[in-house]
Amino acid sequence: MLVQVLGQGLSVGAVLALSALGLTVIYGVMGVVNLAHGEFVMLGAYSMAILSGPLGPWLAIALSPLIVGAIGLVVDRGLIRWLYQNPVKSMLGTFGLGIVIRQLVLIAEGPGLRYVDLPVTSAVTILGEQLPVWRLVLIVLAVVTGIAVALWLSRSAAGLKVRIATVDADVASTLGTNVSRVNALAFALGTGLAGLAGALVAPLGSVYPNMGVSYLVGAFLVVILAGLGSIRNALLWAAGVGLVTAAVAVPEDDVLAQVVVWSLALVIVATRRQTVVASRV
Amino acid sequence: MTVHLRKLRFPATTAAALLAIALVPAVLSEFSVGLIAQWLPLVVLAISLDLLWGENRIISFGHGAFFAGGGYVAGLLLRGPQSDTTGANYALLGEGSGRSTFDALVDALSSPQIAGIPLLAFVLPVVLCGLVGLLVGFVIFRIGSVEIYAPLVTLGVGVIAATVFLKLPAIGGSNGLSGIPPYVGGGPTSVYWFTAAWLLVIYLAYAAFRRSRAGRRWRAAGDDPIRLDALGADTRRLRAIGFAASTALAGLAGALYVGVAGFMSADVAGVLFSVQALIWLAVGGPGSLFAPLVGVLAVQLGQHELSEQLQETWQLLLGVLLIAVVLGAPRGLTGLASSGAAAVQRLFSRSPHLDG
Repeated sequence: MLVQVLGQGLSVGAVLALSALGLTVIYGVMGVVNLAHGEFVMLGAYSMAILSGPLGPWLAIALSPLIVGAIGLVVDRGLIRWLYQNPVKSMLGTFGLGIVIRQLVLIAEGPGLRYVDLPVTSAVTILGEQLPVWRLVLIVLAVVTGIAVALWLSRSAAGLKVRIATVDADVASTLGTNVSRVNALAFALGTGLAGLAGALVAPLGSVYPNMGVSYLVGAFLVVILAGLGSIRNALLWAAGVGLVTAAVAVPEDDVLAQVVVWSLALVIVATRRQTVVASRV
Repeated sequence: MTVHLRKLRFPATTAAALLAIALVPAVLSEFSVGLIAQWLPLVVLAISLDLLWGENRIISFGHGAFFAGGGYVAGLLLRGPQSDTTGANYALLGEGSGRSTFDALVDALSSPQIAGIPLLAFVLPVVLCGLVGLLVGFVIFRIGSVEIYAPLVTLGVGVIAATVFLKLPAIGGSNGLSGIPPYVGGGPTSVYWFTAAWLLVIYLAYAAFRRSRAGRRWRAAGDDPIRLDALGADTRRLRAIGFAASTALAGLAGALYVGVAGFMSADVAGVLFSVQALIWLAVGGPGSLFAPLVGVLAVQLGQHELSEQLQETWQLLLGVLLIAVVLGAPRGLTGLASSGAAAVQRLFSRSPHLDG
């Protein structure tokens, strides 16, 4: 059971981490709380479901974040830029956006469940327990992506511009950074990460228009615990949430796991000595 | 003589709203009266949200959970002990110990009655939802950046409630709680009057609260919590108590709702219904006294007229509507109406006769 809990917990945590990372980048850079984030995960899962047949699973996984990121770019120019630096307005606006995306997918693809074949069907035996190799691949891909994004933000010239724009958009603009381009880039990056999460998780469950809500809620749980704005904390708390969820869900059931995880989270937040302030990246 | 439109506006709108409510049973068919009676408790839910959003700048994505919770409690008491053959009630308290204990509890709680109405069907939802709300409020206002974390925490509360309600056999599980009798007999019209009377009392209390000292302090806690703290108030405790008052009112709304609709299901606790409630308020214009009434009637009427023909497209329209209101009319329909009234007033005051 230990291996099951670890495998399931870390892979759930990895998907949560990618989603929460996207939320964190978007909030950190443009002050937008993206309640349509689950829908971008769903779009990633659908692009995996549609493309993995004709193109093969690996190319589909590579393309999904690009496609979803491109959609994110269009959405940013069309809607999100009117909501910058206004968290409350952005929550209502992006929730409306989420409804629109969901219904468009529902109209185009129908309400039925879709399934995606596992790209790697084999399983390994660890300590006498079977574990699908895909879960391991998922964990590795998510961790590599998370580290790459963190390094890009902290080491590259473009990442530096993003961080300057995060701290003070006016100063960044004065120093010659095209802030509106940085914002668009950050939104595309955040939604692209959500798209990757969707593509990776699609083979483990079913794909349907309303699937986004649970990812949104999970990502927000991580964000509440980690504080909006810290990438490292988001990754660590995502792993923690995934493990606790699996520790209850594997021997018991999913509903109890949800209740336990949220109750624990509320207790942690209520008893925390230092209150969390929504700092930027 | 100058017409003081601003002074006239408030009593005029109040009178018009009262008249409209009174005329509904006289003018419309019994079916429509029954339909509108179902919307009145939704107005109460919208008032509970306005108390937070309009008056204190807190957004809750979880009020559906309190509405559903209040509805389930009231529904169980209204229905009374069931001669239920499915054995669903056994499972709640474990095998063997179930039936008599649960039914005895429901029986005991529904026995204090006034004029045939179980008193606790109103009291219990308010108390329970208020207590849970106090707990949630305590957590929310411990975290900094309330305007961001309050929606996130309430979102989680809604999700938990919806999953738990779905799995509880005693309240019907995924079938929902059905067969709930109305509070009063005599068909849709008397149910309408009963609900409208409750709405009127709640509305009057809400209007009085907004004008009171406590109401001003409550608004101040949302406008500038730091300054209010500096003035010596315990803003966190105040806001937690206000949050609890709002969730208690949402529970009462649910209790009223099951008496009209006769049914409660776990979907209502979910995030989508909670957001629908936010849309009513966004369309009405948060912070305005009549926003809950206007918003609920406008959106529900639209839904009733359009959802049959449009199917999925209706939800799509609702999403577009939410975006449009957020971008184009942040003060909603009532905001549009009062800017219209202000424009008319300017027209009058520009008249060349300068008297007085």
